[in-house]
Parts: sequence; structure tokens; C-alpha cells
Amino acid sequence: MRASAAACAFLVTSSLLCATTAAAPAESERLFQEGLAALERGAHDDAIDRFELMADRGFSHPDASYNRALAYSARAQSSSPRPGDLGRAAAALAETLELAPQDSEAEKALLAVRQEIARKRARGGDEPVRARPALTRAVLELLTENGWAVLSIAGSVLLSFGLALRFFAAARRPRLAGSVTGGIGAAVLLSCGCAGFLATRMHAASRPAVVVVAEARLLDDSGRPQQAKDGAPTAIPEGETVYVHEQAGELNRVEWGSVEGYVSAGQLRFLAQEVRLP
Amino acid sequence: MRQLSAVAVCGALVLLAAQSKAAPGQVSLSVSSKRPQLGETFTVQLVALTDRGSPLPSAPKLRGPAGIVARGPDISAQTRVNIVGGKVIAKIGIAATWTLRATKLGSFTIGPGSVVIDGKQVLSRAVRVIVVPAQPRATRQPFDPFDPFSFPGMPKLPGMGASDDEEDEEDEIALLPPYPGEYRLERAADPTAFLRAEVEPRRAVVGEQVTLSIYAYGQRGPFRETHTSEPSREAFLSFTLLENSYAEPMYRVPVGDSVWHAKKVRQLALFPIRAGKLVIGAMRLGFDGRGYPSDGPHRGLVRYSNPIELPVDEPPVAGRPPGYKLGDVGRYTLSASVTPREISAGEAVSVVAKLEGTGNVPFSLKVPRKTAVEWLEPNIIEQVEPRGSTIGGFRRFSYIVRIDAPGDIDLGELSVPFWDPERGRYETARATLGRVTVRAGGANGASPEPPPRDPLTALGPPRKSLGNAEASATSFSRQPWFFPSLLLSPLLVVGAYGGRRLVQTARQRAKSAAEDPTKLARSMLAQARQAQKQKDIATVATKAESAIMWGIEYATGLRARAVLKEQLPAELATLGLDADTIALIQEVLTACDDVRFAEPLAGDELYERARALTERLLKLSPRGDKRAS
Repeated sequence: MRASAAACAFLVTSSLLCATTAAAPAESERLFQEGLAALERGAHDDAIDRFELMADRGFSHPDASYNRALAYSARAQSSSPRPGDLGRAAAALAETLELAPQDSEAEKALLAVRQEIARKRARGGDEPVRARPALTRAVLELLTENGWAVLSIAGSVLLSFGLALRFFAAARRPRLAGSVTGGIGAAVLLSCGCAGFLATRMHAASRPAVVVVAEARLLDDSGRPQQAKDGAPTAIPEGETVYVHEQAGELNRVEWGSVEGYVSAGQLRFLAQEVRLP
Repeated sequence: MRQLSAVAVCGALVLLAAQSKAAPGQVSLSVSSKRPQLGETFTVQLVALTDRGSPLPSAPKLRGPAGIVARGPDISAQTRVNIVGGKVIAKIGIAATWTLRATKLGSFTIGPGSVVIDGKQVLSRAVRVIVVPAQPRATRQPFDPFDPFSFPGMPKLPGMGASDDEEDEEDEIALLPPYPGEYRLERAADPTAFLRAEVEPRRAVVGEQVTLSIYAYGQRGPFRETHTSEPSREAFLSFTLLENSYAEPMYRVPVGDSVWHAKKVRQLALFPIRAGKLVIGAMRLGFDGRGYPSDGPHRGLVRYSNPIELPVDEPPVAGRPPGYKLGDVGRYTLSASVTPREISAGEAVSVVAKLEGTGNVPFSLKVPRKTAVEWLEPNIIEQVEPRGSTIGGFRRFSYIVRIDAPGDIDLGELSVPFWDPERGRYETARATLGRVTVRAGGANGASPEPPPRDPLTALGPPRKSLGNAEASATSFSRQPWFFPSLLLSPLLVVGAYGGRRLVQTARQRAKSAAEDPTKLARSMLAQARQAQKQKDIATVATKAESAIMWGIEYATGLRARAVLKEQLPAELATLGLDADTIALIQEVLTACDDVRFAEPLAGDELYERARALTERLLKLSPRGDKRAS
């Protein structure tokens, strides 16, 4: 009886954790192959057009985002670069990592693109600008939302098991074991549950985006440039990831590390957060 | 041939350099009438624009000749938005308007006007006007010197001559000359004068032409335009189809029951640059003429047009071709030529493409870039202007294309995808470029330059196929039930434990209730009472004895049935019961025995004595629990 209940619970949890796997539709596959062919023959504009069209149609896939990043970075290194190409490459790589967090190749590439942006800024005489990371976000991003959720489930199960031992076991030792197990479970449930809840709320309340212009000036809510105070940065460099909390007309309220302010909507590129194969 | 290519490249560079040397701002001067009549007022407008972020132009001045009297200027803010190469470029500035009156006949040069932009004085071109003799003006009503209300501009008194006027109006309406249907209106928005703004179409896509027409209606006869401000239109790229009303015919138009004078005062071709509900602001206009009371010096009767909110969508995503740029809406054709067709590796060819059509002609083409074929930024010559009520024209793109690899190179095709709003579908204008024969050996026999080191080699090769990505279901922790359900399992365990405790307690209570001496004693008394009513003396005695036994158990905790009756008084005394009660117990129990075994006592009396004794015992404090243990 207990074994069958455990098996059922495992199946339910597995079905919740495992996402469905589906093949890309033919039209998107065709666009992807055309973009790939264009990329290989050096037709960066064509490649960008095709990968961007896939994104416009709501198709989001880590491999398509990765190739889009390659197309932008190739154009950035070509003889006819466009302003913001490296920022867009960084955005596409950050999107790849949003969709496939374990993609180490994309992680290295994003680092390389950001280093190249920093080199360009340095060549232009700009000082490197960094924002202190916000502690809450840093802690909550230690795990994914589902990671926090799974730990919370484990805490709930431990607490339940401990309580059952504590309440129903007749012997003293199992009752003591139940108390210890229940205590640990309660602590795990409380901490991971709160973290998971906060991560979910934070995720729902903001969207990640990347700066795709040379520098996004931080503004106040009326659109006036923020004044520099206490050495806080007044502009966000190209390729940096920000979190958009609110869209107010042409302005977006963003969080960049511990810095908050408004930037013009056209200076940001939002990242797809879920794989979509429409 | 090489020299020719070099000359072509140099020429292109010179052109590019000339283009990049921008003036500090744009300044233009326009006049409302190039042939004003003697004594007639007309306006001259100086528009000065600079890039957003630059200081606003200031100190507008106009040089006027003797013989023309100038008033003003009235200064208003101006914003103009253009899309160049997919980028939105906004210019801001001022419009300064002077009202002029000619006092002499002849030809005069007005201007140049000047403004100060970024500390520098910038001049406009001058304009030339010819002042002609004044023509006699047709009067609307003959002046009757004996009718004080026939003075022009005087209001009519209600009821006075109304019937004659109404008949006149009806006759007048019937005899009106024809007028364009766009002026037709059911009701007047104001009894004296008003402006009406209309857009066509009323819903558009980004980049589609929307025509804004503003009409002025005056009830008190002909009027002139004065003290104007333009409608704000920041979310649009704007082309002027009709800049002012001076050259426009004035029509007599029936509105309601009366005849109004109406003319079109503005017509603009607007191209929305983003989606959303875009607002076109109100235009201000002063009605200047007899019968229109002025709101201030040189202001005329000021009226505002209705602001308009225009819903703008993006063209559909379905069927959108690759490379489509938002805002490319219209109908275009593309042609191109390539010269020369034979070069050496490392040399360049010239590609000239002409894109023409109606709509906001795109500012860039999709060029077929490929390895070893380098396209430089094009030089663009354009002629985009109003063609009747639509905007159209051409843009000529001159590219220098350098080819490094030898062979028979297919240049591919130039293209520009666009949305055709009339057909409601995407189209692509294309021009095939053909092949260029490239001989081996670079210019001067030098080998092509090695490509610069690519610092982004860490990016690795492209991915060849779409891998099996997980189509994300929404994270289960975002379901509203998730976090409450984490407590479900522990609560179930706690609930099960609590339930078990409840059942145990209930059972205990039920058991206790079943053995409660008080209840049992009262139950026995009730049964004795029943038996007494049935004259069943033996049963009365049995039940009364039981009631007393339960009373004893309640009061002392002693299970009296297990004790011999002879030993009972001593036991009760040991348990602290008072002597009177013990004596009474002994007496009633004996009476019960007597009823069963000896002469019967009256049933009523036995019952009453047993009842009184039992009640007495039950009133004692319960000590049964302590003593029983």
C-alpha cells in the first residue's frame, strides 16, 4: 500500500517536473535552415532577418537564439557593423541561457561578447561601469523556481514523515527520530518555500531585458536624466541585463543590480523566458 | 578600368563626406500669398529645426522691405519626425509667423529670415511677392442706413425680420453653387465659427499614410487665417499636403439651416511610427474678418480643432517576409544597374538601385551580403513629395561593392519587402543584379588584406539544427495551488492525529457517560416510579435499592453491591459518610428487603423514601473517583 502510494507520488511529481518535448514546426525549421545557410555564406543581414522573423512569430528556441547571436556578432565584426549589434548578440545569448540554463557554450560566448563590449568602451575612453548586485535577487537566483519548488516539496514530505513518526510511533526512539526529521523538514519547507514564493513573485513582477544601445541613460519618471550621486552609475552599458518592472509609455522602469531608474523602451530588448514552438 | 573604379570610389567618398557635413539646422521661409492685394494682410512663416538635444533656435528676425508693414512674430513650437534607415530621427524647433500688409504696389523681396542656432546666426532664403491692386470685395448683405442691425458684424435681434431671413436662407441654400462633398456637415459645432479635423483611414498600420484634413467653418461671412498653431503629431512622420489656407477656395456650404463659409486650412499626410492609440493634437486658428469678434490684438476669433485618437496596429505577423522592416508600407518597384561587369579581385563595382512608388518610400534596401563581397553604405538621393493627396517618389541608392574573390560572382538580388495596405498582403520589390566577372590578382597585383583577428572566436560554430528543446510548460510553482498545497501533507498528518485523539476522547466520554452513577441512580428511580404506578411493589423495591446503591457509589466511590449489607454501615463510616445518612441508608435498604421477603410496605412510601435518600446522596460532593482508586 505504502509502496504504491509512493509510486503515485513519484509519477505526479515527475509529470510536473518534466516538460513536454515537441518538434519544431516545418515553417520555423525552414527559416532556421535558411538563416543557417545565410550565416555560413557570410550573409549576416539575411541570417539576422530570418532569425528575427522566427522571434517575431513567437518562436523561441535556444538554438535559434544562439545562431541569432552569432549572426549579430558576425555583423559587428564585419566591415558594415550597425550600432547595437554586440548588444543584440548579448541579448540573444542571454535569451539562450534563459531557455537553456545549462548551455555552457552560450555562457562562454556571452562572456566573450561582454568582454568585447567592454574593450570597445575602453577604446572609446569610457570607464567600466558595474552595478552592485541586489542581494535578494542574488540569493533567489541560486536556484531556479522549480529548484526551490522541489526543495519545498522535499521539506513538506520530511515534515509530514517526521510528524507521522512523532504522533503515531509507540516506541521512544522512533518518536525522537520523528521530532528531528520533522524539525529539519519544517526548516527546509519554511526557507525554501519562502524563497520559492519570492522567486515566483519576482519572476512574475519583472521581465529580463538587455540593453542594445551603446549606453542607456538612466532617467527619472518624467524622462529627465538622473543626477549622479554617491558614485552611482547614471547609464547602463550595452549588453547588460536589466529587469523591467513597469512599462509607462515610452519609458521602462528597470532594476539593474542595486540601481533603479527609467530607460527608453527602444533601448532594451526583452528576452523570451520560455521555449515556444508555435 | 582600375582608374575608373578608383575614381568611382573617390567620388562616392566625396559625396558621402559632403553629406556628412551637416548644417547646424534647417531653416525655411514661406509666404501665404505670392500676389497679395494692396492693403491685404498675408503671412510669412519661418521654420527653424534642429536635432533633438540641441539648443532650440531663438531670436527669429525677418528683413522686410519698405512698403510692407510687418507685425509679429507669433512663435510656436515645432516637432518633426523622420525615419532614416530604420532609425527614428526627431527634430525640434520653432515656427515664427509674421502678419504683413502691403501699402505699395510693386515687386518686393521679403527676407531672408534669420534665427540663432547654437550661437550661430542661420539665414533662410528670401521670397519674392508682387503686390497687385485691390479687387472690389463682394458684400454678403447690402448695407441699409436705416436699419441699425444691418451693419456688418452686428448680431440680429431674435424675431426681427426672421421670417424674411429664413426665406432668404432657404432660397440661398437652394441656389448655392456646388461644393465638394468633404465639406458636408449635419450640425455646426459652434454658432459662429469652428474647426473640424478628419482622418482617413480611421484605423491604420504602422507606416501607412493617414491623411489629416482640417476645415474651418465661419457663419459670418468670409474670413482669413491668423494666429495659428499646428496640430501636434509626435508619433507620426509628417508631410504637408496643404500648408495654409490662402490659396484654398472658400465654399458656401449649408450646415443645418444656414449657409456657412468653409475652406480647408490644413492637409497633412501622416505616417504612424509606432503602434498604439496615437493622438493628433488640436490646431488653433484665429478667424479674422468682419463679423468675427477678435479675442485679442491680431488674434481673431480663436477656435481649436478636435483632437483625434487614431488606433494603429502592426501589419500581421502571419506571412511576414524575412527582412521586413516595420513602417515599410505602400507599393513600390525596384530597378538596379551594375557597372562595370568585369573587374579584378579587390576592385569595386557600382550598383545603383532606384526604389519608387507611393507611400513612405523605404530608406534602406536589403543587400545580398556574402563572404568576399563587401557592400559600403549607400549614397541616397531622394525625391519624395506629395502627389495629389498621396506621398510618393523615389530614392536612388548608389552602392560601392568591393569583391575580393576571383571568379564569376553572382551578386544576387536587392529586395525590399513591404506591406501593401490596398491589397492587404506583403509584397517584395526585387531587382536582380546578375553576375560580375572578377579576374584573379588584386589591385596593383597585391594580395587582399588578411582579415582582422576576430575576438569573438569563442562563440564557436553555428548550430546545425533545432535540438530537442523542452517546450516549457508554465513552471508548476506559479500555479496558485502550489504553495498552499505544500502544507497539505503535514496538515493531513496533524489532522489524522487529531482525529484519532478525538475518537479516543469521544469513546472515553461515552464510556464515562454510560457508567455515570448519577444518571444510573436517576434512571433506576424513574423505573421504580414506573413500577410503582403499575403497583409492582417488588420491582419498586429492586429499582429503589439499585438507585441507592448508585447514590452511594456517587457519594463515596464505594461499589456497595459488592459489600455485605451488614458490613455496609462500617464501610460507609470509614469513608466519612455521616451517621444520619448511614442510618437512613440502612433503614431504606431494610425496607426494600422487607417488601420482597416480609410484609409489604406501601409502594408509594417506599418509593418516596428511596427517592429522598438517593437525592440526598447525589447532593453530596462526588468523591467516588478518589475513593474507588
